[in-house]
Amino acid sequence: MRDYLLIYINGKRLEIKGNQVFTPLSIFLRTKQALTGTKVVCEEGDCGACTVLLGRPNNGSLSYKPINSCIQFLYQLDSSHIVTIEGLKIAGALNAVQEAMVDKHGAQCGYCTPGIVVSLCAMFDQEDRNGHQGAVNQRQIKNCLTGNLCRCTGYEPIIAAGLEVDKNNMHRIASLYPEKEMIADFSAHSPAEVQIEADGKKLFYPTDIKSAVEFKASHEGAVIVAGGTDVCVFWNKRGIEPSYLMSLSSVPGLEDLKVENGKLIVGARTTLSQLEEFTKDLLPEFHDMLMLFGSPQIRNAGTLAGNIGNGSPIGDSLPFLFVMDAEIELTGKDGARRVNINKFFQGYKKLDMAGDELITSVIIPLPAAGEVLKLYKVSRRQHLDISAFSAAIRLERKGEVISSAAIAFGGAGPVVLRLPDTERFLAGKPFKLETFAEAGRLARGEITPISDVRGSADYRLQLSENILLKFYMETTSEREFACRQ
Amino acid sequence: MSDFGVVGKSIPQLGSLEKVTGKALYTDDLPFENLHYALILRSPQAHARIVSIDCARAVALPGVTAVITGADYQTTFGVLPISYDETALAVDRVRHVGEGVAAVAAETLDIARQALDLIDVVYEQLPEHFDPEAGKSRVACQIHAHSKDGSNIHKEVNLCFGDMESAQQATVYEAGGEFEFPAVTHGFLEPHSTVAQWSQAGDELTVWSATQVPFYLRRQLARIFEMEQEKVRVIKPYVGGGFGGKSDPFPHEVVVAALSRKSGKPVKITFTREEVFISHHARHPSVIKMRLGADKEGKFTFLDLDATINGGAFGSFGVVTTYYNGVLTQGPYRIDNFRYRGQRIYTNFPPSGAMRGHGAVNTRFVKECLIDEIAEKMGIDPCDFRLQNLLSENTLTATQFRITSNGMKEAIERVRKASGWDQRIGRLPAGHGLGVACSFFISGSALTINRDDPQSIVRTVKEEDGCFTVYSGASDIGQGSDTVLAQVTAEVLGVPLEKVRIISADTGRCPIDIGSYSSRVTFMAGEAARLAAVNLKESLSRGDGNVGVGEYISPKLGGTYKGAGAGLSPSYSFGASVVEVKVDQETGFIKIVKIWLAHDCGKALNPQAVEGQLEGSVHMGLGQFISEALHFQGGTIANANFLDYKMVLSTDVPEIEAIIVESNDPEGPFGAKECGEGALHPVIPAAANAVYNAVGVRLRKLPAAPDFVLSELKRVKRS
Repeated sequence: MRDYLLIYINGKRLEIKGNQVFTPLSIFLRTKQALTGTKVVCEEGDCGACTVLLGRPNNGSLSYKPINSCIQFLYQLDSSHIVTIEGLKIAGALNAVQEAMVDKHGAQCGYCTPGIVVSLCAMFDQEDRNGHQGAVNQRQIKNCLTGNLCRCTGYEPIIAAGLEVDKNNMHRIASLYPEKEMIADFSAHSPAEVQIEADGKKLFYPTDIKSAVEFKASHEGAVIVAGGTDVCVFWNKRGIEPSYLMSLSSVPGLEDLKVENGKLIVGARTTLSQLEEFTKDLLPEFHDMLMLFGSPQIRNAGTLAGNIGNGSPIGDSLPFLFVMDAEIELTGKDGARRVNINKFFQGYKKLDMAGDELITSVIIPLPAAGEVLKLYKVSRRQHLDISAFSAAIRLERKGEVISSAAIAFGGAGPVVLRLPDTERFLAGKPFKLETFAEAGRLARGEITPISDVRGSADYRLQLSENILLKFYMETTSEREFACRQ
Repeated sequence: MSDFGVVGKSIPQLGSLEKVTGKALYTDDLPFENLHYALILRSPQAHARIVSIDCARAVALPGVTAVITGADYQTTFGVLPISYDETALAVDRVRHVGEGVAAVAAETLDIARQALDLIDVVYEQLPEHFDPEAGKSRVACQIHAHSKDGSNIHKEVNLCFGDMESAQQATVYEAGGEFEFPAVTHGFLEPHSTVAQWSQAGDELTVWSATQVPFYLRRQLARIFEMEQEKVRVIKPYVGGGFGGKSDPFPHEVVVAALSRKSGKPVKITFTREEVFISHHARHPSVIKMRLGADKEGKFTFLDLDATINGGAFGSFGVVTTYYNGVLTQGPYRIDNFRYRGQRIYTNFPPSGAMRGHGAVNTRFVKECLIDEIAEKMGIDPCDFRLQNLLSENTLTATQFRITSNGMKEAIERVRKASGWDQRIGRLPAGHGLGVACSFFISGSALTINRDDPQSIVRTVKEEDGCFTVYSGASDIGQGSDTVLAQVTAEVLGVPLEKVRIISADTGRCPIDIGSYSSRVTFMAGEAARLAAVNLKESLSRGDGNVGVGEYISPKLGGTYKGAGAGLSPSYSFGASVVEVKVDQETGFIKIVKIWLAHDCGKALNPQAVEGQLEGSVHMGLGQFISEALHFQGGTIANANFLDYKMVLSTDVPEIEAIIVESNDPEGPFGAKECGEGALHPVIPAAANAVYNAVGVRLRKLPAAPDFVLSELKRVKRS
């Protein structure tokens, strides 16, 4: 049993005890480590000015990912290495990203700049680790920066800087900070449970699922924290401080990510960015949806299990899981059981989950060959936005006839909704515009949206119709469409 | 055209090395010994009488070193001498949600937070005023007693030029309408932050603050604490963006000075993001009614304009805003008959103020949309229509603004060519559209806010080590003014840039510059720096000294009518933009495909820095067009965060082609003039005109968010 967290910052070893573990990393860096290059702007992961690299052991090396340090508390960070903007300068010289940013006027006021430099460096580091040859393109750079707000430059000079960087002049983070000793230090410590109590709060790092379940059963209101992208926002903004926190990062077996018997198995600790990478060729439509999910910083922290456990009716991953009839594996004192996701949400933020149970994995059947799958997210901006409306449409065709359909809408009611009447209507109908127009009218009657800051009920009702038309047009070749009209 | 050595070169910005390495110190980053932390207790009420405030429990909390309320400092202040209507903390009455009521300083932030919870305030609710229209007549319980006839009118401007009656008779084509604009905000990343520290003897005050106007702040602090101005030193560290949002002297800057005086400690406040939103002082929401006419040849006959401007609780720059809504709308076109009525109304919202493109953005939008409508009625190309109505060089407008350099024609022609306008307009696929619009803006105001202030003085010294030090009050807030001063100085002296040091924005060390707002710094501080270097060079060659001083003073300009000074500038910028959009007719989502923007900046002293200003302006304009708006529930901002206040991101920004037009201004340093604000104006109406071109929807309201666009599409299809 340990009573401290082991964290390295820019290569410096720290043992962190007591109430300090309940501090956001950004504040710890700025006030306790005099590392003021990390800026605090929004304190909820919306702007990326506080971006730092989080290095965690992965297959014998440290894999570095950019994260928002304002919504990453120290209690989440046992056995990790943090690299800040100050830690990216090698032997007093600028690195290639920093040089390009200076050269291309990528910094105006400079307040977003440290975060942007860290994000770009992370992208090049990842490229190198993935063994990618060749230059990065504009699309990659834009995608890498969706979590970094810049209000001065309009991004053009920053993108130009990214394009100018010579990959060969970038130093791997691993070469700046020898990782062997850090990893050895982590593995020497990781078999032990961590328990820290301070200020009436308790933090627990179990090392097996049994003690995790026991902790959850015996501590009412215990919050399981992985990426913390919801928990930490509520902590910062609404003062909601859970009394009992549990991290599963030392529990083996939860990092699964594999295909087995035509099903995708996603362990509870799998981050959204790992899933995004894994589904690139396997499930391109889902991959593209994940690319719109929050920002890279959010996806590097957040997990699929967390997105499900949060139970928001507008979670970006959910409509897809609904139409695929994904199953949630829950583990409790009596062992594991599986629930179809369509039955898992019983009301707004109400889950079919007992007090002792944890989500341990998500099992997603893959679409059969010949099935069409389309996912939609409607929001005011493409990235870093909560949808007004989302949809998944899965459809099987035999020639000109629809043999079966599954439709799920998010933002259409208190939970993600399947549309059984519309699905039944579509089965056996001809694949033509009129069918989808009629299906749209039916769909409209099956949902109960509300008006809120993201969109009005009217707008959502209209979208429920239009999205079916959009699906039809997108899955019909243009020529075909013209003839039909 | 002469050859320049340093001017006209895209050299990197001074300070960028510090910025990319995280070494640049902003106010919140500064190290202080024994620093204490301030927090402000804010009103949950929009309009209420403060019945009582009991701070006794907060004062008694261990670790609390000072507590103040509105009663302690009642001097009113503001940025304009005619609108001193704010106080450090509310005195007897709160006028908007979030107004400060009491403030504490404590050894730690945690203690300060606990102390706030221990202050008991009793409010008695007063009638709340959220509708500017209603505030034009007598109201129950005025927001400020100085509004006339029992109303909430803060400022009313009535102007009329030419002969409106005969102009309307000559009119063949007319367009008009009512347009509605929500509040948008600056969205700079660095939250407001200020540290104050008094000397041991208590007679000198030093303030470090994220401000665009150190000398205005010094003036107000000296007034409030009843000291000579030279006993107050204001230092601007690195500033993380302003866009107008740090150009008022703010209540919190007074509050920390007061807390520091009372506690005897250095005291700091740094806003949360919510506080930044509440502090506001940004673009005024407005309702604009306009009619525009043209005769049978397609020459503009008249412009008739009414603006109802929602001022929020305090004056801020509002008097200027009220004028700018009118007088900056006429250019870049010749319109001799022009009527304007502008009314700024106090409401119980957070105060509006100045924001990039100050005062002219919304009316510009309306006018450029109406021009598009008239062009359509006439069956003439909107580029041609604009070209045939332009003001010339060296002329006077109806309001007697002096136009000197004018690159407007070239700007239109350049965006027209670059966008392939003539080949593409009318031939785009369904759902795609192109739109065009122009801009007109000041290069600084010819009149100073405080009559006794000079505009800009620069002192340049040749040092023992062979370097040159430039002392200037100008505030680099990220736009690169330090770099401009260095380039101008190096150019005149014929020395490498590395030999020039800049010491700026420190009222204790630098001669006055009145601040970074109204796009004045390159023109005015730049010219003062040029003159200082010229004078130093002469002194050195005469061998009679190692100091050169340059002072910029605007020439006497303008007419004699009441309000003739508003909008007067020694030079004006001109620009044009073409925007291409694609409208998704199922979801209402507008994709911006590409933006072309040509801007007449006189002379680009640093072309890459100019492009940075143009692209940044495009970004901000695009946000106002497509997604940015403050939403209120009663008097409370419902989206005071960067998730729900949606600024555009890297993936939303299209390719931007920034085109520099150089008209070589006769009075700007090396021909330079404004480039940081005017460039925002044309983007928004050009995008709206493109939406019409794409799907036939005339937008009368912003932002063009998907739900609104979809409902408009439906309406157009029905009719």
